[in-house]
Amino acid sequence: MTGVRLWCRQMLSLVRLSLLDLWRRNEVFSLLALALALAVPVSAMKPFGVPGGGGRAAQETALLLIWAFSLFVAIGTGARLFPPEFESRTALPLFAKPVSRGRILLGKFLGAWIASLTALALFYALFASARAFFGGGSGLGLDFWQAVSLHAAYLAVVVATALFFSLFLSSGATFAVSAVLLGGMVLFGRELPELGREAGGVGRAFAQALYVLAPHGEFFDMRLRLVHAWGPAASGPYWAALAYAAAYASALLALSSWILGRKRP
Amino acid sequence: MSGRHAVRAAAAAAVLWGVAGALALTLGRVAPDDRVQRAGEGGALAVAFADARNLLSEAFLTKADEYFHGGLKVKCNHRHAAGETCGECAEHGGEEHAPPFDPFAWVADGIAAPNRHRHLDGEDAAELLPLVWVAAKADPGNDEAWSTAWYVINHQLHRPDLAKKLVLEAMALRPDSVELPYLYGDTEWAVGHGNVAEAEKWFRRAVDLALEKSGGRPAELKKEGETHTYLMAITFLSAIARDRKDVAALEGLRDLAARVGTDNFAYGAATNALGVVRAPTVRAASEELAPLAFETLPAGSIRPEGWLRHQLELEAAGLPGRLYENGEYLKPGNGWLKSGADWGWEEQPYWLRTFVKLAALTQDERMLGVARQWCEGVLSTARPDGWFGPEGLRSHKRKPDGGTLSDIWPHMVMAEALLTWYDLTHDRRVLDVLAGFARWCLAQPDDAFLQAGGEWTLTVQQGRACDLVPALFRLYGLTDDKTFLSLADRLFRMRVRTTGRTFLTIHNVNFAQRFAYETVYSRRSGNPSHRAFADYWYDINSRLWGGEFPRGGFAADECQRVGCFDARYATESCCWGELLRSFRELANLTGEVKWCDRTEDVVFNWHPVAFTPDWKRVHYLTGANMVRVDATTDHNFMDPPPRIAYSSERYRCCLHNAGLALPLFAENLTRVAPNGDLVIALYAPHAGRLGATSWRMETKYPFRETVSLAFSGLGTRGIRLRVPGWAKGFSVKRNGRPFAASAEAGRWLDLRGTWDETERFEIEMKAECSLSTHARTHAVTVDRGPLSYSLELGERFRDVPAPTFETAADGTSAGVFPAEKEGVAGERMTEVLPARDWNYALVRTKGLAFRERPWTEDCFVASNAVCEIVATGRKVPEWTLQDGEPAALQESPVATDAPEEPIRFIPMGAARCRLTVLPVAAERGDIATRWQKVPATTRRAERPQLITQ
Repeated sequence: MTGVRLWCRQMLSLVRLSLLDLWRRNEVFSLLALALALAVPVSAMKPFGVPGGGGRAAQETALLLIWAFSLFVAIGTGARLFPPEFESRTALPLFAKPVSRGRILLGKFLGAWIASLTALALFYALFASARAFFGGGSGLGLDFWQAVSLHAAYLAVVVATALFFSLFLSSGATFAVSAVLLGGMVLFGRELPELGREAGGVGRAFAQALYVLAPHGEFFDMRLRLVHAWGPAASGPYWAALAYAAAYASALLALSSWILGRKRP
Repeated sequence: MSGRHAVRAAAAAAVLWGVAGALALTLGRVAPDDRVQRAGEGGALAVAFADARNLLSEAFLTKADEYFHGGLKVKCNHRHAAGETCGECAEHGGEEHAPPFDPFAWVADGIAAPNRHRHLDGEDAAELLPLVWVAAKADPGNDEAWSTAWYVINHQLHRPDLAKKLVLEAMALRPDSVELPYLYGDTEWAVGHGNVAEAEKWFRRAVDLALEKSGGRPAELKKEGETHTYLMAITFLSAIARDRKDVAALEGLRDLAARVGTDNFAYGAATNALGVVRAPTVRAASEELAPLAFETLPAGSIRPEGWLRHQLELEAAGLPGRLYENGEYLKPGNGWLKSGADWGWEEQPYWLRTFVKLAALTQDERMLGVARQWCEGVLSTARPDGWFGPEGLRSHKRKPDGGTLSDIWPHMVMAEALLTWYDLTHDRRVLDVLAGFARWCLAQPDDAFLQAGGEWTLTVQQGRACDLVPALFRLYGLTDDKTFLSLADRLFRMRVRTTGRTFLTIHNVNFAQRFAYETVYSRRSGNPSHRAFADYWYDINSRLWGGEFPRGGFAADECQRVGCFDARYATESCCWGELLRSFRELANLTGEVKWCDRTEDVVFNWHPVAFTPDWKRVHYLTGANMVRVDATTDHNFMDPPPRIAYSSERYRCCLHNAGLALPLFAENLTRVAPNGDLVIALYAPHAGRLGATSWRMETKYPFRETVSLAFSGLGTRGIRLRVPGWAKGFSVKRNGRPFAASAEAGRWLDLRGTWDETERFEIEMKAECSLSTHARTHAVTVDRGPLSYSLELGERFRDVPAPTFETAADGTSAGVFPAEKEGVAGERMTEVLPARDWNYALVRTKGLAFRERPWTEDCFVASNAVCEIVATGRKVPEWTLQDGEPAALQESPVATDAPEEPIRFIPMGAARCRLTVLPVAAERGDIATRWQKVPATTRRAERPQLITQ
């Protein structure tokens, strides 16, 4: 067996473990049921007796839920990669296997990312079906595929971030810290310079540091474009956002690998 | 945290929010009175939830505002240069700032929705309703939520039934609201076309509520916006009272407005309305006639400026303004000036109709004096039995039985001249003479009235029977005398009917008049089929005879001939003014932008070359491809030559009538809608006045696309701007800030607001170079904005004696200039000949570059062309002259081996030698056609004949 094939087999088995872990928990199905319970009444509204006016509100609700749930799934999956291994001491036999820690980390990352992507694919497939059925937006145009691909790239950053924190923190703490950081950046990342200017002094330096170092979720958020039919993003920012995701996730993985290499099981 | 627990937590949170929302909505019904609950009015729970409800309501309204702006919070993150003002931001209260470049921001801005100002309107505005619904239900005291919902449903979705239901629902919750009855009234009002009585009741209720709430001091109303609503209700009541001509009500309304002060818009509205009622300019339509979309202002209301004034002054000094001095047909003693005289027909009314309009527009003392002399003369010919004008016209001998027939066609033209004179003088004798004539017409037996009788002049009155109808409708509006309507009915009944043939009439001027007849009469008949008539025939004529002509021209060199569709054929100069008369009536009746667009097409592209640049000579025919305007060629037209060289003595009808188009255009630039709105129907520099409102339009349109409009005393008048069908963009700034825009072309853009005493609007239209492709041969015309362009040929003007024509042995004929004898003055003509080759095909893929050139008011002259389009062409050696015109176009793309050359196009209206429809040169991959050469001359006997039924 060549080195590459061995590497692939090791990766695949790690990916399979993550997928099984995600889907046997039924989280995704619970989230879908919740999404339907919120989005369907919005789309079926007849405000003031006028039918068919809730398309954008329903789409926005659906996309908000997709974002929230995909973050929930990706952070949750990423946060569970290492802490249980450390807590149950299964990390010892794992690290004793003839597989480098870097490969283990990469395999677990890919597993968690791909597992998150399968959930994301399911969410967007349902969203696209609903849009096709109700006739909202621009169908499956370039803007839609840009939104999906940026979202998928962002999940790589999310999983890498959760994985990074999970090397120091418990699963619960990792989930909380990652959710606050990632969710906060999606909501307020664009405003950080302005907030820093208003805060001044240390607050300003902190905001500046956060602005440069924290993952910019807003780079990947095309919800308004989709809902309000603004059309696709320009190719420059689009490719820059993808490159940012690749660079950010790679840097975090490299840092995590370095830390894991020095960590006592 | 485990995933399972998190899902449960999220579900619990959703349930809690749902319960909270339901409580808020329920409480909203229980305690609706005030936005902020007061302790002791609804219990502790209501007090506790009141602020939450207000906050929830405001949050959803804010969200609705974001939806209205395409999901964006309206704020400025544009990168302004230092000191630059951003109109978009300023409109919404943003501030100027110029942040440094930030790569993260660049990515975030590029991915996020663009910060462009956009409004959700039309059907899409329904998307706001779920948000507004939650806002209104959460806090029924939030008037803004109700009024926003009302606006969307009534003004964007056009569902007044639902809008009224909504307001009634809101009023049940908030019976003391001033805003809500006002909204109900506005719904009933429906821009003046709804149930006005019901609207008045609700506006009055809003006013009464405001007075009651404020103890008679509406300026002290506490709630934000209520004083404004009170004034708006008074403004509407003023409009209603104005239409009812109720002076007492208007005075009362003015007093009510004065309770808030005398510097508010409602006080201005009531005062203006009083002025309008006391000196009416627009008469409300009665039940006998359907209302017009808008009306032409009385003659004298418009004062041309800029290039338009220059052209009209040339016209006044040229042939139309001076023809009375030595015109053969205008000599004293004709039956229009001298009571009892026999001779005179259409020439005198044709000329006088143009002349009076020209005098009114230029306010030239000489012309006004001559106009008075002529109009007085015409009025003096009135006989006791109602007849006026030449006696010879009432007693034609019918052939062959010798009976007596009348000819009233010239009276139809004269009526319009007299009505223009009435606008200037308010001389009641005009109305009396025309009423007497109407009664005379009605007294004639059918077999002697409006009949042909062997002479060709009598067939004209049959073909043009309904030309008098617009004047009769106007006369009825001025006098309430139903005699005029009876005559209109009779003329319509006796008109030449359309019998399902493939053409309406083969005569070009008859077509220009007749295609609108049924539609104009639909104002009285109410018959939708009548209404559709103009569209049907204009479309057929344009597709067939105008298929290879740009901008409304068509191939009918006097009459339509078999197979003569090509751009080498021509249209008669009388046609332009008559088309404009029809377009005016159709625009006024239907309010459709296309008739105004077509008016500009004709005036800017065709009519200017009907005359020489100094307006002293006219020609009979104008074609799209007419590269040699010469006197001696027997051109292939229906009538014998010469027809296209310019003359001041021949071309009988055009000599007297061709000057009509430009004055007609000028007096119809700005019109008025029944509700008093000013309708900017056409664009050209002018000033105007209507009641207390005056305005000035400064522009170099159609050669430039910016228009500056300044108003004073607008009061509550709205402004309707025409967005031309060609416009690729149309935006309006008010006092330097963005105010309105239209992404859609070919519509009206309504400007409304609370106006200051003086207002200034800057209109910017976006024009692009383009090609019109003519379907039969795939030839093209270069267009930009309201203008088409012709190949620049370097015109040479030549003054020559009028030729005589001789037929050679082979059946061809040619003109010969007479030997000039010293001291003997004969008729002179003007030829315009090309200095360059004309036989080019356009290289389509090489682009069109538009350039502005130095400005001059004398802009319809080739050598002065104020703009140009540079393109690339290739000569087509096989394309030669035939009978002095470019041979008929063959199929494009044309194969040619000639090299590419830069070619230059100038506005078609400046090109008297013109090549406007040209082939496309074949390029790699095209299926090309090698053109066949054609004989240089044809024999008149072999030329195409008139089309028959």
